[in-house]
Amino acid sequence: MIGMGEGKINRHHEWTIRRLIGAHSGVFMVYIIVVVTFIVGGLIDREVFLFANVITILHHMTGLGLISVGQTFCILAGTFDLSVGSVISLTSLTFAGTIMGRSEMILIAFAFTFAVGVCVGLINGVLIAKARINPFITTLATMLIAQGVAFLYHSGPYGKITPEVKWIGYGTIGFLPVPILIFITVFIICLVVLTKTRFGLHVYALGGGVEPARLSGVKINLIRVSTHVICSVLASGAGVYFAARMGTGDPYCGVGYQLESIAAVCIAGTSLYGGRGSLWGTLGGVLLLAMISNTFNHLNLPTMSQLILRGIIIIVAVAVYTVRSKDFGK
Amino acid sequence: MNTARFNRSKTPTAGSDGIRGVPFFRLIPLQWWTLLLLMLVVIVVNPNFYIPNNLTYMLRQATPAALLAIGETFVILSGGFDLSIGSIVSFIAALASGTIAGRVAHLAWALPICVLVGSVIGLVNGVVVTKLKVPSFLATLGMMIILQGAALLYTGGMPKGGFPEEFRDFGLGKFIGIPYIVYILVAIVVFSQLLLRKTKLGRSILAVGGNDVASNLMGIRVDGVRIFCFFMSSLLSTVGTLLMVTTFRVWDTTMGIDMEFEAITMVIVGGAAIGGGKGSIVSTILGWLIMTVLFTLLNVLGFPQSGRLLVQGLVILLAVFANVETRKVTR
Repeated sequence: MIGMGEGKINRHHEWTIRRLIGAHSGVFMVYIIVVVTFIVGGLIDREVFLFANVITILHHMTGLGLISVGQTFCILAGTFDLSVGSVISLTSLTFAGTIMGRSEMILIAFAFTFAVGVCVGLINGVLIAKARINPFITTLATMLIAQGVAFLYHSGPYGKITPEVKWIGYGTIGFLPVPILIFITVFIICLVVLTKTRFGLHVYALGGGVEPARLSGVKINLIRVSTHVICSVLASGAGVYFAARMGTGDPYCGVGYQLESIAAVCIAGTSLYGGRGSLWGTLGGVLLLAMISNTFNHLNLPTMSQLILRGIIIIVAVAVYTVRSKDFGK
Repeated sequence: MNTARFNRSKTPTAGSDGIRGVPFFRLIPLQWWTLLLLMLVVIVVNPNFYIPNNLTYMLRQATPAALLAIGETFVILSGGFDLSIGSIVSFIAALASGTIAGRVAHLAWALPICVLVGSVIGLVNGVVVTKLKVPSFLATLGMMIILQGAALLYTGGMPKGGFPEEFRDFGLGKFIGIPYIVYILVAIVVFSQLLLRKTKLGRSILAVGGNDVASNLMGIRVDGVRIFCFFMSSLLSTVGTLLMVTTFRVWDTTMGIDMEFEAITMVIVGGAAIGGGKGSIVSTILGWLIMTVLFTLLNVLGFPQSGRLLVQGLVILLAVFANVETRKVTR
């Protein structure tokens, strides 16, 4: 299953195990590190192995996972989105602020919140595709604007959710928590879209090279706009999740997630220049970041050293991957 | 920016049309008009504003940001990003405070150590980007997270040490009515601009930003040039931090957060191209002045502090659109 997107493109390749590992060494590496971290953590502190702790790790990755899956679309298509963190902050506020403890407002709140996400995504996409502004500048601007709007809307925690909404954050179906089920559903849908549909193939093609993609009949503007809309909508989903977890909206809750999601996507070797990588790599990266913070908490290590380790992992992982793949691009 | 001038001399009709073909307001770059307009608005809104005290206070508070923006300009001109400068501010401020620990006698060795550490950070950034081929965005993002952790680890999350009174005397001191640190800024601006425009190294930076493959074929040592840019960025951020803490009474490890985005904003507003090859130190200083005056204006108008982000974002988009327009017209 791993890296089916690439498999589809390089269909003529022989599917030997070695070729599979060679082409996706970053993805394999990340999963191996995840397993090793888990086992080492578990040997030192047996509580790591408990089922409850595994659920906690999965809980940890839901928020970052939703954003990173969206970010993967943008990065594969050759752009990226710095505005996701601000979109989370803003949508958590609009969602909780619209509900204000009234059950009859839930549907309206959902509609409003996702409308905000679609709007930000459309603005990003149109500015990048039509006005041809560098994605870094465009999404930096929308990041500042969305964060500014969030602060102006309310400078502190605001809004109140209802018990029905709380179920999104805390409920369980069988033994699995609802947020994890939501994340798995979203992940599978996105995986199918990216690997089994024409749209997904076009995303890869656009990231691989704009001019060849255009000449092959890929509607590049449409792909650019839709990847950014997908990214922002998933970020609004994360905003809803955070509001459901905290019981209220918070203009600070998304701060930092934009860079963390880009790091999570790129840790497993997805190229920041687009066209190469897979959602499985993103899942591995998100798992790794969640696993590190969980293990550090169990080992009672200070948060600061956790930050240092995270930074080193990002640099080393990307360096190892680029050097190994001889990707001496830019 | 120089766009208008540069492109006009390149157009075939430049000789025949001369300057007459260009409307008067286009002879002077848009950034100067914006700055002039903003200053006029400030005067109109608050006629008492331009007393020398206000002006020097504004310049002194904004000087460190200018140094960060100049450093960022080097990296952006060479075609990269440096996201780590905000964390360099946090880390160097913590390091300086901890090593100086309020004693004048410590300054002699503490300041060189800070500058050395800052330079090493830049060199590490540069080597990771050029030799390990990590995209500069991710390399400096990693460095940013590492330095945030290092700053917290070094201080334990609380302000540590402190600065002697003499340090603040220097920060607040003036010579002929202008703060010392503004002189330092002017010296660095002149040095950087000369470096960029008049030396082989400076030309190489612009060439590498314009097209690294061609530069390599021309015999420019692309990796060396890139490393130098990251080195300058960290070094200037370190100097900026040391100037910053001379004017502060209190500091904490969150001080540098988002400063990298502020610096990048100034570079973009000045008119440099993301992706490299186009821009100058003077244009960055223009961007810095525009943002500084704009924020002063917002303060004068009583705009809430939280609205600054919103305005900053809109200004970036406006600046980019303005640049696109000039390019279209003069092409």
